[in-house]
Amino acid sequence: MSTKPTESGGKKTLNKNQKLRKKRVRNARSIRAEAIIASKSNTSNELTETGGILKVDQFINSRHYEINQLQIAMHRSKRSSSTRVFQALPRKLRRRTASHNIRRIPKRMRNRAIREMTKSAQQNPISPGLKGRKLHGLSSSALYKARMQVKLLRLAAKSNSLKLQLPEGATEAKVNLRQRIKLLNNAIKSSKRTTILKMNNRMGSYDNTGINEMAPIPRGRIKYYKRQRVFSWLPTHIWNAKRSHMMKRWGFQIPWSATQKCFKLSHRLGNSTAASDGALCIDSSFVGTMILRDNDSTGAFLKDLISKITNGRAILKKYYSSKCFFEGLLYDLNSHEVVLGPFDLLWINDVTVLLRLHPSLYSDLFNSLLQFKDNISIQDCRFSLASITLKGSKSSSALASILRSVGPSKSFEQLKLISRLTDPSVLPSKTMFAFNAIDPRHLANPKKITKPNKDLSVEQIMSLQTEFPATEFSSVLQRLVDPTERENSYKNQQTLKGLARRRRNLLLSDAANEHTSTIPHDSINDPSIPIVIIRRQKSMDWVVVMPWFWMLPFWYQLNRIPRIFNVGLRQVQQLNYEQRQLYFPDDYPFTSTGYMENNLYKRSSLKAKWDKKPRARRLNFEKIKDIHSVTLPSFTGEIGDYFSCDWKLLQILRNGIEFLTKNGEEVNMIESNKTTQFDDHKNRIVTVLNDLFELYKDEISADKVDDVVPVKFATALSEPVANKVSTLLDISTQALAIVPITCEVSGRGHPRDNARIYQIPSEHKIFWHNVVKGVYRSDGRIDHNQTIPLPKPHHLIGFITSGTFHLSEGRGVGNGFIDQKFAQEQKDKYILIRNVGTNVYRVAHWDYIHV
Amino acid sequence: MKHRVRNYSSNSTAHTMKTKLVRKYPTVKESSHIEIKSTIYIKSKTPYISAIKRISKKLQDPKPANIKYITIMGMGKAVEKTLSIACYFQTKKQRKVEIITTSVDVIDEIATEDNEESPVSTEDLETTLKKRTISGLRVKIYV
Repeated sequence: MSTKPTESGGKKTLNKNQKLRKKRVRNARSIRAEAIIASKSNTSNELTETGGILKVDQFINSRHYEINQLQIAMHRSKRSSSTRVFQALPRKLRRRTASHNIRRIPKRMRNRAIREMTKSAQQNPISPGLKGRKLHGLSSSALYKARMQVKLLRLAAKSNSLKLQLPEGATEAKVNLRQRIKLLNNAIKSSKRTTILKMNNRMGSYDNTGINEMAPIPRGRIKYYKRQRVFSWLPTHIWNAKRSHMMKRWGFQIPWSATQKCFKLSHRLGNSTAASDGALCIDSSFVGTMILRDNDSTGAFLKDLISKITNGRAILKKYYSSKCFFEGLLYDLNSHEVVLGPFDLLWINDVTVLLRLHPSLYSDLFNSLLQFKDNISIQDCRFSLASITLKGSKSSSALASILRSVGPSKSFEQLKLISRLTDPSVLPSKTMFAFNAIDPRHLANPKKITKPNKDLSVEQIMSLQTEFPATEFSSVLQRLVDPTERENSYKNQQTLKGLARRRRNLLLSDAANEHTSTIPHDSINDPSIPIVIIRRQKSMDWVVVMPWFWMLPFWYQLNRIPRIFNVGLRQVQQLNYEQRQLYFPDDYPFTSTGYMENNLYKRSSLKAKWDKKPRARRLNFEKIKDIHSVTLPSFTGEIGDYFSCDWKLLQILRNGIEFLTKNGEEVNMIESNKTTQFDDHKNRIVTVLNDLFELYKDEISADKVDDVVPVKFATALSEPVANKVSTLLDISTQALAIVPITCEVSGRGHPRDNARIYQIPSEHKIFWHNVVKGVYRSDGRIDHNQTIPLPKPHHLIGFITSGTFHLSEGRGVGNGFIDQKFAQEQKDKYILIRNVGTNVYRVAHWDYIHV
Repeated sequence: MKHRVRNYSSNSTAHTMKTKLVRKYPTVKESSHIEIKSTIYIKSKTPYISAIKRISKKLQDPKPANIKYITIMGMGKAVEKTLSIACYFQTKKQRKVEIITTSVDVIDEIATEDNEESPVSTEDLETTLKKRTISGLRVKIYV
C-alpha cells in the first residue's frame, strides 16, 4: 500500500480556525513577568562584591505585578477554551442538546452566538427551516403529509375490515390515486361533527373530573397522547423532563431527582434549620385528590366511613369541628388492623371531605368506595386539582411574591404577614390560607412583599389561629371542590401573547406606566383562581392546591425566584430520612405497597445489578465468614435474602422462637443425632433453631407469589400483641408486629439500606456497654480494633429500611423496624447493626419513631 | 422536631389544675439573607467547643465578606453558655464584644380541657396558644 507523505511529516495539518484557536490558547497561557534588574540607574554604584542592596518597595511592586499577571493568565486560559457563548452560561442554564441551534440559546446571547458560528467552519447558523425548501414542488412538510396519505391508503386497501369502512368507489381498481383521495376527503367532510365542544378559554384548559368513576387522562396535544396512555404527564412534565431524571411509576411520570447535584443543597435548604435561606419545590400533582360528599345532610354515613378508614382519628374534634389538616395512616375499610399507607385529609364542611392519597393507593380506595355510591358522591380529582409542595425557609416569602388576591382578603393578608418568617416551625397547628388569586402572569416577575415597619410579634402569630377567617376560607374551598367552579376559573384564561399585548397596550396608553409591568386585574373578565395553601405540621412543608391547568403559570413564576430549586422524590425521601420520618412506600414494609416495593421492585433491581457483575467481581454472600458465633447446617454466610429486608425470615424466626420457648425452654441450635422430621401431613416438625431456617427455605422454594404481608404495624403506645404462637402453622402465618425505630450509631461506620439489626446477647452486654463509653488505647485514642463477640442467628430482631450517613448528626443513622416484643422488653435501648455482606457489628442507640 | 410532652402547672391561671403542654414553639425569626449567614443560635444542648469552633470559623472567613459582626443568640437556660462564649472571645481572643440583654416572647401550645374524647396521641389534642416571656441575650462579636 502506498502512502502519500503529508506536508507536516505525519502530523495532521491544521486548518485556519484551528491554528487561530491554538494561538489564542497559547497567548492566554503566557504569563508576563517583570524581572527585577535592580533598575538600570542603580547598577553601577550600588552593586558591590558582597551583593546589591535590595530595594524592598521595588521588589514588592514587581512581585505584586507578577502575581496579578498570574491570576489574569489563569482566568484567561480558562476562558480561552470556551469558544462559544453558551459555554460561558451558568451551569443551571447550560443545555447541550442542539446547542448548534441558534433558537436554543438565550435571546440576549444570540447575536454573539451567530457571530461565533459564522466565524467557525460550521454551516449557516440560521437554517432556513423545514418550511422554506421545496422538493418535488412541495415543501418538506407537505411532502411528508402526502407520502403519509399514500401509506395510509395502502394500508387501508390491504386490510379487509378497513376496506369496508372506505367510501364506495374508493377501492375500485380503475380509480386513480387523486380521485381516491378526493373521494375520501369528501367522506371525511360529510362525517365531521357539526357540534364542537366549546371551551371557555383559548388555552384548551378544562375541568377533568370523574364523578363516581375514574377520570380519563387529560386531553392535551394529540402528538403527546400516545406516550401518556400508561404513564400520564404532570402539568409541569416538559419543564421537569429537561431538568430532572424522570421515573415512570404508579401511572405517572414523576420527577425522581434533579439533574443538578443537590444532596447537600437539599440538606441545607430543606431541613428546618436556622441556616436555611432558600426553598425546594416539587410538582406533587401525582398525589391524587379525592372529594367525598355525603348525599344526606347529616353526614353521619360519611363520618362513620372516615372513622373506619382512619381508625377513629380523623373524626376527633380537632379535625372534624376545628377543621385542622389531618396527616395519618389510612386503614383498610374492613379491618382496622390492615394499614394501607399514609394520607392527608381535610374536612371542608360537615358533609364534605377532601383526601390526598399516594397514587399507589388511589385506585384501590376509589374502587372500594364505589360500593357506597348511593350514600356518597365521589369526585376523582386526580386530573383536576394540581399541587406544589415547598420546603425550606423561603417557601412562604416565595409564595407571597407570586400570589396576589383578586380583592381584599383577610387570608391573603395573613399570608403576607408571615411571609418574611424564616422559621416556619413557629406557626400554629392550624395554618392554612385560601383566597381567590389572580393569574400569576399578570406580574411581569415575582415581587417581594415590602417589609412592614414593625417586626412580626408573637401576638400576630397567635392571631393566625385565633382570628382564622373561617368563612372566607370555607367559601374558597367550596369553589375549589366544585367542578363547575373549577371550570369557571379557566374562563378567559389568556395566552402569553394575549397578556403581552395587554402589557404593551398598557405601556403605550400612558407614559406613566413605564415602570409598572403589572397588568391590572379586570374583575369582570379576568379569571379568579381558588387556591389553598396548607402548612403541614408533620411533614414540615407547604402544600399549594389549585386547579390543574393553573399549575404551570404558578410553577414558572415560582422557579424564577432566586434560591428556589426543583427537586424530585429522591430528595423528599432524603429529607424524610433526615427528619427521622418514614417515607412511603420504602419505609412502610407493613403495608402491601411497601412490602412489594421492598420484596419485588428494589430487590430485583439490586439483584440484577449483582447478577450482571462477573463472578470474580461480585460479593459471594455465601462465603462470608464470622457473621455469627455458631454456624447452622441450613445456611452459610449472610442470613436471609441478600438484596432486601427479609421480613418473611424475621416472621418465621421470631414466631418460631416464641413457639420453641413457650414452655420456658432454652433455644437449641441443632440436634446432632437426628435429621429433620416430618409429621403425618408432611409438615416439618420444629424442635430446634435449625428447623426454623429449613422451614424458611421451604417457604421460599415453594415459589408462591406471596402478597400476604408477613409483618404488621405496631407503635410504641400500642398494647403488646397477645399473639400466641401455639401451632406449627402459626409460625409462618401469624403476622409479626414490628415497630418503627430510628437508631444512631455511636462510633464509626454507618448503616445502609437492608442492614440487619440484632439484639445484644446478655453475655456481651458489658462489652458493648464499654464500647459505648469508649475503650481507649494506651496512647489515649479510641481503640477500633477490638475483637468483637458475635451474636447468634436467633438474635436477629429487625432490619434497617433506610440508612446512611446523617449530615446533621455527623454520624450514621438508620430508620428501620424491630420486633415489637423485643422493643417493649428492652430498657437500655441499645442494638447491634450489621450491613449486608459484612461481618462488622456496630452498636447503636435506638428510639421510637412516632407515625 | 420532637414534640415533647410534659405536665407543668401554669402559674398565671387561677385554678391549680394541671394543664398539658403539647409543644413549645421556637422564637419568631424574620431574618434577611445576611442575618441568616451571620447568626448563630446557642441551645442548652449545644456543645461549648463546637459553638466556639463554629464562631471562630465565621470570624476568620466571614461570608458574605462585608459583615461587621457575628451575632450569637441564647435564651433561658442557654444564657449562661452564651455569656461564657462571649467572655471567651473577649478575653482569650481579644475581640470586641457587645452584649445586649432582651426579653424574648415565645408561644406555648397547651391542650384545652374540653377534649371530651381522649385521643391516644397528643398530636390529636385540641390546643390553645399562650404567650410566655423569657430572658434572652444577643451578643455581637466584631470581625
